[in-house]
Amino acid sequence: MGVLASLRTGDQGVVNEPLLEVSNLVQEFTVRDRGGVKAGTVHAVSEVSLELAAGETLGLVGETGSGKSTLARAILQAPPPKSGSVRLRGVELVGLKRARLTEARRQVQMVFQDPFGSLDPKWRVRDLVEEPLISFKVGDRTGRRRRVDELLDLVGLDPARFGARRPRELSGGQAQRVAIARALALDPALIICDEPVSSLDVLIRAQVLNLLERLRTELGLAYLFIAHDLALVKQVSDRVAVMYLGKLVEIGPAQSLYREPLHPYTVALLASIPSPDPAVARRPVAETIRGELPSPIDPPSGCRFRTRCPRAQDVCATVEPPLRKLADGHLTACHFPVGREDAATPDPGALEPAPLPGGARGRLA
Amino acid sequence: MTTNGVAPAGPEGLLDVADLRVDFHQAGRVVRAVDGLTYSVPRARTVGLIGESGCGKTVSSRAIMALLPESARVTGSIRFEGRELVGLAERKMRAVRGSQIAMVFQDPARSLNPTLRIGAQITEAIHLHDSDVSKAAAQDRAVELMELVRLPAARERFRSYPHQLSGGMRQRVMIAIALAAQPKLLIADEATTALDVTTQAQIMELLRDLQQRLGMALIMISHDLGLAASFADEVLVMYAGRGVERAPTRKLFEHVRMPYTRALLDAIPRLENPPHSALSAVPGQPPDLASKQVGCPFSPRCPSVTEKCREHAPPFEEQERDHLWACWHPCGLETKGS
Repeated sequence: MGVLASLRTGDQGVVNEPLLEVSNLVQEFTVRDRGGVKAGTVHAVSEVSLELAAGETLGLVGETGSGKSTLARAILQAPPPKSGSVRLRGVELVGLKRARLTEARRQVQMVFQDPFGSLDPKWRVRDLVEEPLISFKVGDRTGRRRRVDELLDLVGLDPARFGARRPRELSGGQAQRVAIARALALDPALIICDEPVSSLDVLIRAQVLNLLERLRTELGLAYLFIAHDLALVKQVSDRVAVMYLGKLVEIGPAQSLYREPLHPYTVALLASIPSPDPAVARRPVAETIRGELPSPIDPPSGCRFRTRCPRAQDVCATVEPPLRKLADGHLTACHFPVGREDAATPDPGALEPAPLPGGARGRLA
Repeated sequence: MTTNGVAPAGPEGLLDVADLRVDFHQAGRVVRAVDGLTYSVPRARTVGLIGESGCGKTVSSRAIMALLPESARVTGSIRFEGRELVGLAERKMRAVRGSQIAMVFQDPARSLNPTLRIGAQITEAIHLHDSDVSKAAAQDRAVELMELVRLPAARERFRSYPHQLSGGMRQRVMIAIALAAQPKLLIADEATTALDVTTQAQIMELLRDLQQRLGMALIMISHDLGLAASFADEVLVMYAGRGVERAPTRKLFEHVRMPYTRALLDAIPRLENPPHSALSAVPGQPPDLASKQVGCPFSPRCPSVTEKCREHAPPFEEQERDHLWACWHPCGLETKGS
């Protein structure tokens, strides 16, 4: 813990070095038919790059099949990505030997959607929280017990009342607090929260979100906060990344992503959020997105969103849009970014119905 | 589609629930899951039943369908087109369930038979309610229903199995099955909760469209007050088995009276909020429904609680035109002398 503490105090001096740096990460899985013959490849995560600074919260939104959870697991090397790089405080995790990887992974913990799934039902709360301390041989028994009480206090559970309980004697919110206490036990710098409040009721959800916020400010934690609900993600994040079918389609400061969304998929996500104010006229979601999610085994050519995009033109089928910076820290991968006609792909073929010439790729590069 | 022989609209709604109680007897304990619920659903309208897990919204709707386990004891009254459903013999209930009142559940994967093609499952539902219809006619009607719920490529999909469809498409199949008998009331129990956000919005838009085109009434059960704001004509907020606030949607959101409704509304993350702003979160958890309740069930968590709330449960009454609430200290109103 001493090493981590010193690294953390050093953060001020190394502002420019990101805590986490993911570059060109690719994760693919082979699907086999019943005879065991390769039937295809699931392109779960394709060439995703992002950075996370110490103490920063990066929200990651996307729907089923967007690859957001696969990306989280690939960051933790569980399983390692097919290609690409994951650097934690400058240390490359891809290809790291098991012992050193375990040590490095101490700094990154994970909180999942279903707290009960991550807590052994036979164990008591106290033992569940102590377990990571034991496996990393932190302190002696008395010291560990003191630390467990500290951790339970930190997540708002009275150790005297909850310490001896088993998971089935906890509510969903309490169980998630135990899971968070476990994640905090080894004093991590980054917590990956994968849909941490999706299974909780509205009021309990607000309690747990507020807890995560308090921990962030008190402990200087960074979060990679994964959820399908853009309003929720925006509430907790400094920056937000949007994924669609394995691709990063937009990333930017939370406020500007909401005020000036650039990618049509982000616009569709925003339109899908039911407003808790009946006076606000809803934009029918059918105007912003159509059809069904294509298979990740055979993703569409060019832009993967084009089959559902109301703005799609011919160029979108032939040329994959690169991630481009259109405002301060705000990038999108779209030929025809929303509200930015000045940044539309300069291709006369795209403006007229005629098919575009093959030279478009060269012009983009 | 609206060829149902519609009964003349009486003074009552399509569905009138009055003083409904549901007790579960388990291991010597009595859990009162629904505690004196009263509300109506007018024809061709959407009522949102809103509350957290365990508030009784699902149990009360299953009571309407007589789909509760044997350990449940249902008292009070559920009148559908004037006919009392509480205590109705199962044989007679079967003529109501499905054909008059249908239900769509949260998890379409579990409600569909994985071994049967979806066309066969929709056709079966049509036959169940009209045994005279020929096989060919039933199949045509099934394709019609699939088109009605906007399943893409309906004819080709007819021979698909459930696992070949996405979650959103499976929920469309469930809705097609529910509509097979042209019910007058559809109960959607968290029908979009398990779906992705854009799919949820698509299915909600579909349900609203069908409800309007078919003149069907809809009970929308959800934990999401935001969804109710967008899609319901009237909202009933439930807490601990009781109704705590009820009003036409616009009125409810403009003048929230019950602190619990306020708490639900304030706990929803809003896009307008700047990053890292704290949500207002009331502490604690809903009460244990197995223990005897004295006073207002929300009083242990309520920011406006007084001694009176702990001792006397406030009545759930119409306190402004069309607006009912159960609270001694309603939001936005001067506390009336107690």
